[in-house]
Amino acid sequence: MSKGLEVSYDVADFMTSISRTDGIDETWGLTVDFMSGLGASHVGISLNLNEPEPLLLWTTPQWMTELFLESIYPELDLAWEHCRKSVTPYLGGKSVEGALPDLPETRRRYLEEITAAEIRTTCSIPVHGAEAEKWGIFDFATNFGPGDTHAFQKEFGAKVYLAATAAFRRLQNQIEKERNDPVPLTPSERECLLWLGRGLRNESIAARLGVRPVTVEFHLSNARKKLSAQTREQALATAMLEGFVSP
Amino acid sequence: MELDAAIDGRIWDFLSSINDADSASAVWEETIKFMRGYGASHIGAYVTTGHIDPVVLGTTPPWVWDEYLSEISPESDPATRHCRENVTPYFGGQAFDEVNPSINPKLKAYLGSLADIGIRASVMFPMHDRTNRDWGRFIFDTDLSADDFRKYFGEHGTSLHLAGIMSIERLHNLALQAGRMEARLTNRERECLLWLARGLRNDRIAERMGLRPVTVGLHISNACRKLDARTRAQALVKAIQFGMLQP
Repeated sequence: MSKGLEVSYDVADFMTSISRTDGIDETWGLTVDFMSGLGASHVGISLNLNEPEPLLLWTTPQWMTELFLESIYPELDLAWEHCRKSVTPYLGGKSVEGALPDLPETRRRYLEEITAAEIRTTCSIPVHGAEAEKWGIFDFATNFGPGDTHAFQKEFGAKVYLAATAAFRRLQNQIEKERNDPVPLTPSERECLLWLGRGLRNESIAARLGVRPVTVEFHLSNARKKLSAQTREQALATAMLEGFVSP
Repeated sequence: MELDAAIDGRIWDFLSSINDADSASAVWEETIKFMRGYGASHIGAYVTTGHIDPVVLGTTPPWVWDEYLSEISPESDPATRHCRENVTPYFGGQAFDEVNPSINPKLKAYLGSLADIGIRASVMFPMHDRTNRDWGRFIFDTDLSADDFRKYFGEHGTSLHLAGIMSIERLHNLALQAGRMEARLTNRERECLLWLARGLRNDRIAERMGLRPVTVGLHISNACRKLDARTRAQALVKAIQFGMLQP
């Protein structure tokens, strides 16, 4: 585990790797890989940026994020409530909440839906800093049942918490930096828009770029935000009109 | 080395307790309790915040830090060199001398005297800020042999790592908050610094704020005084470090 005096272990190596990334994409990619290696079916971060809605970065499909925002507005979410005030992880999901007698119906339906997407347990890790308003949540979702979850927490709980906190902080820094000096589209974002303009769908774009479809979605989502567009079509049109992209 | 029974799960209680603690001494009390429960013979914390005096805490007698800071130069100590550039933990102490054949004689003697007070094998957890500058270090000391310590770290390292860095983070946040309370800039003073950060000179700041240039100069010099800064540039840096400005 250690050669001589320098201690190399997986979380520390992960922390080193994300400290050297060039941007959000790279950090997010490494984070998703590391967490998947620990058994996550999905990961996500919710970051409060002094704006009406938090920034959500998720590996789950868009419909799930929308369902969450529609039916369970963040402030009413139990995990949110806990994480706002506490620093300890919060376990949720059907495997944990399913047995609760007075679970609201909207919550029950939401949990059923996400179970279908391989999320039976969610571990929500609060991340707070020196400033009270700037806080967020790192979510580590698994397909585990209750028994497995307990064993997992015991064995890996500290490891996930440590890695999640490091990843969140790094992403927060990079996101804030990008917001403070808005830059034009990155090469990846531009390329995704380009292929979109040429009629390809996410899977084909992913194949062309040698990345995963979730990464393509990520690039397009960022491009939308930068171009203040509601849809990818609008993003594409805006990008073309402003001369960022010429397919 | 004595270990408390049932140490699983205590990490979460510890995180809650240091989060609830509202003074550095309270945080340190909890940290000592927790680490002793994990068999530490001694612990130490070093936190710099941009204040003139860094926070230096330890269960060791005063000579341990005093001698280190005055006799051992950072360049001759591989531990310090490692912590400056890496976020991975580092093993140190007399137990590891055999891995370090070219060890500086002063350092060797120092480690020898540490061994006399039960510090034979230690691990150092570095902390870096968003610009990758090292600002903190947590040290967990034991009287174990090198092999026993490596084995022990293999089993409990992650929990110790998490607890250690959360502890120094909490101390860091408290120090920052204390700094903010002491300085307590007025809105005008803060606004002047903000314009300064955006590259304006006094006369332009005055125009923006509807004041006379001499008043702007007064606000800035008041800010300097409150922040204990010799120049406006230093005042800017301190204000940013304390989170008073978002340039």
